[in-house]
Amino acid sequence: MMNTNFPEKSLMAELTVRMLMEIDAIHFRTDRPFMFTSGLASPVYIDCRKLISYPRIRATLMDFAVSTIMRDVGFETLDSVAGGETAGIPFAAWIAERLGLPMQYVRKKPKGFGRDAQIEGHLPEGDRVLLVEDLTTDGGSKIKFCEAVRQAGAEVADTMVIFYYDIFPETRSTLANHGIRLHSLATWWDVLDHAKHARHFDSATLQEVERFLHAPLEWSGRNGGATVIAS
Amino acid sequence: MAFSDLAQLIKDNGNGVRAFEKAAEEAFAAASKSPGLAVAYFVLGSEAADFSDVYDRMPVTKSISDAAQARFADHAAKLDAAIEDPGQTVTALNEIVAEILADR
Repeated sequence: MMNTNFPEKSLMAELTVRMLMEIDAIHFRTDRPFMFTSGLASPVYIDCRKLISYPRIRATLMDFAVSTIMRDVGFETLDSVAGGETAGIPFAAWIAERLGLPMQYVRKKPKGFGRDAQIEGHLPEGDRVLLVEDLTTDGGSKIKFCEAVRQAGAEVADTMVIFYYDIFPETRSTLANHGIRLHSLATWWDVLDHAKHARHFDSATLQEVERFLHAPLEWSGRNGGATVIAS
Repeated sequence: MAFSDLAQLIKDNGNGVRAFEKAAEEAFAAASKSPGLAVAYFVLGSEAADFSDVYDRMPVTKSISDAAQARFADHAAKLDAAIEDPGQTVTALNEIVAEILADR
């Protein structure tokens, strides 16, 4: 059933963070850093894939996502919803169901030949597609997935994620340069804000996390990780 | 391109998943261009691709990715040292594949 409530963005962000915290999807670790796909060392990690196992939480987040899409993208401006392999697929399916739209998924790599070699499902030429993924860090995978959708003859101008890292100032402009608008429910800044108020972590850990969020490349370099984002 | 160049490529790109992806692409391209060394490049490319497949968007720690790069560098060095002798190259390849399979 389609949600027709439009909560304030700040309330959705706060509740999203609370739900992620409740299922232990957010991790802070300053002594043994995580390594991002790009090679960046990080004291923070989020596992949005856990969400699929919690029906009440995932339903609430999908309602939030649909509210965000209808408010920020439009009510009749999309023809289809595509999930990025693998983590984006379940969320794309739930969003497509709520919006009453067809769904596809986009492979990371082509299977076989032809212009739709990365697309699974039926995607008519010219369809206006919303790309769905669980999260975005620097936007690199979104660009690749959108290029695959366009290669198949469809249009894509918007991508919806549950979580946006929001630590690289150039992410939105890079996506914009590729004709992609990013929509999200929460960021690391929302997590930090909540963690400070709820006192989920000790102050030394929070200070270190804040240092990373303000200057991720410098923090990474100091902790043995990459100092530039690998393309 | 020396096999060790692939290990250096991973290191230069931060030992992350994307670095291993790049090395795999380079290795598979080199296998196509150098038929006489195709098996060696293919084995190294597969090792790098395995890492990126397993750890894509996973909470990999720096110690795990550094260890994977070190093992890859060791394999590449073994192949560089054996390359002049076809018999030694086959021996090196067998040892490398046995090590990779042991970790699966």
